[in-house]
Amino acid sequence: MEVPTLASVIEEIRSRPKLLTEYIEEIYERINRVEPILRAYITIRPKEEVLRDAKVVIEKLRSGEAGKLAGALVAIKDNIVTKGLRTTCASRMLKDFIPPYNATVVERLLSNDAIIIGKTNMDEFAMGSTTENSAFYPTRNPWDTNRVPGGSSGGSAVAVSALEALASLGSDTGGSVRAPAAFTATVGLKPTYGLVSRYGLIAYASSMDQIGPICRSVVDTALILDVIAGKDGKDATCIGVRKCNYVDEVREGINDGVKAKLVVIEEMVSEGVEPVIKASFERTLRKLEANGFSVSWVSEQIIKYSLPAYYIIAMGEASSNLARYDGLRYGLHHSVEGLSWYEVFSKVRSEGFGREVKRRILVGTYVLSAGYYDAYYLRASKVRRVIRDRLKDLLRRYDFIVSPTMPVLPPKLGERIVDPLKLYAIDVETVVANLAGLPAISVPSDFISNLPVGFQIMGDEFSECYLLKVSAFIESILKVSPTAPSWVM
Amino acid sequence: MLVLSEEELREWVRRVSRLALIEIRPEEESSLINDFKRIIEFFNKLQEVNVEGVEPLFMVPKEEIIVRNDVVGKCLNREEFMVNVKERINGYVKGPKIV
Repeated sequence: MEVPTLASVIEEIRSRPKLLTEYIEEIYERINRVEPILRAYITIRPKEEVLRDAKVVIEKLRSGEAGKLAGALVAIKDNIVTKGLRTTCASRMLKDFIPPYNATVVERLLSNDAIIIGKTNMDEFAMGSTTENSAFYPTRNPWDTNRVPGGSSGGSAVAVSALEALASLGSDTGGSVRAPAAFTATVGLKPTYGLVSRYGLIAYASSMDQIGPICRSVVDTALILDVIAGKDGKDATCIGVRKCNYVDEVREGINDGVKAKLVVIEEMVSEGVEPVIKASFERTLRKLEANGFSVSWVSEQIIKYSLPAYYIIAMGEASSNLARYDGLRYGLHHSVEGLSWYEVFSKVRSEGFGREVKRRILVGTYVLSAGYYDAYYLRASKVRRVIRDRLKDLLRRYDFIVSPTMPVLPPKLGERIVDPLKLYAIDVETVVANLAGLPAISVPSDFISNLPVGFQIMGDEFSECYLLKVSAFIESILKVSPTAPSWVM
Repeated sequence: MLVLSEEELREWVRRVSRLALIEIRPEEESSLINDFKRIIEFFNKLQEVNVEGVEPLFMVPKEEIIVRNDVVGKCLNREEFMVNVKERINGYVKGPKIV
């Protein structure tokens, strides 16, 4: 069976609108079959509701008024708010939270006639890289169900990889879109900071958070980005510089090819990178060179410091962002009768947050506290400046910085979560893009013992047109995606 | 280098827990202290970098700052945004006693 893509389904449905109902039936049949094992979703909308939405879309298709995403059956990470549809952040703190409004990205998907299937599992408040840190249950990797799917947007990646949705949205603060994309053989894009509105994204580390699509191909990624990118008056940091039609660029990349100067930073493929990953990465580079790409290697010592700098900044911002959870206006509630504010807030926060979230809030409070701020948060922010300057300088001389997306193959469940430092270590390739605000994409590049491997391409700010074009060409050379594990088909 | 003794760490965990309004149960304390110690050691790696004269970067700079015009627009009505409030009093959110 050929793996359907968002692009192929949208095109098919344009000429045969009625097929949308069949696709929905097929997806719910598959969800019933695979969800007990994989658990990609936290909340699944009732099929009847989705079929009602489809009726409206089918009518629009027939009258020629349908939006660009008519036919798109999408999954949304559960930290992106959806009006009237429970949004939990995979936390006890928000397990009954019903948002009274839609995130801007959700509004844009819906106004282009996409239909939401459900809300996906994640690490609590997006803090984690394996989707084991969910207050509900861990999500499993469809390529090997004893292994993690990566995180924190693991549910979104699995929903797409296991054909439980046609495309999804995740969020990426330090690699949370790209990590699960690499581990599930899907395409995951973290856009430039400021290209996509964060309005309605429940904040983790605001200076680095960015919403991005997870899809089965680069062209699908472009279709989603085309709809969600752009200025938003509700997010002052969203300037949304858009220079092209992303889908046209991708088609051009596939049809005409494109030459580009790639650069590898040695520090990104040395320490902590498994030998099989490095070997696979080098094989990928040789294939690209054979197709006209040039590859250079440089050393950038400062990159060795990106991981601690990232975690200091992320935890500091998290401790500030998560101060809002007091259980009064929304979230887990504790009766206020006869208790002091200190008792009420402490009770709610101690019961509502999971272990990793508490750890990050506490360490984050420390790095921001008087006496330690200079040594940690301020110093990390200076290192951040140096990292950004060095990367910007490299991107003046080369078109893209490439690396493996993940330094390891998907770990077994329980393997990394036991030790926070072992968990943080697998973000070593991805955090640099968030520190520097640059766009980066993970494209499926290989399978090692039937486990997916991803190739990361990082470009200059607001270079998504060029980045997607090159990614599409690279995808056509590597011929890994679109793919799906045969047992789910 | 900032290296804390066991006692300083314990004291510090208590202080931070109070600041963050997160209670630490006695059975959580020792594993938490151990995690902190290792995380701080991992952070201390940054002390090796010479950042003299470097301006900190808190947000990725943007050429333009987008500010909305200060005009009255549509927003959620009271009932809509109060939907998740569990304790109310006369249409307001009820909070704990402050004084």
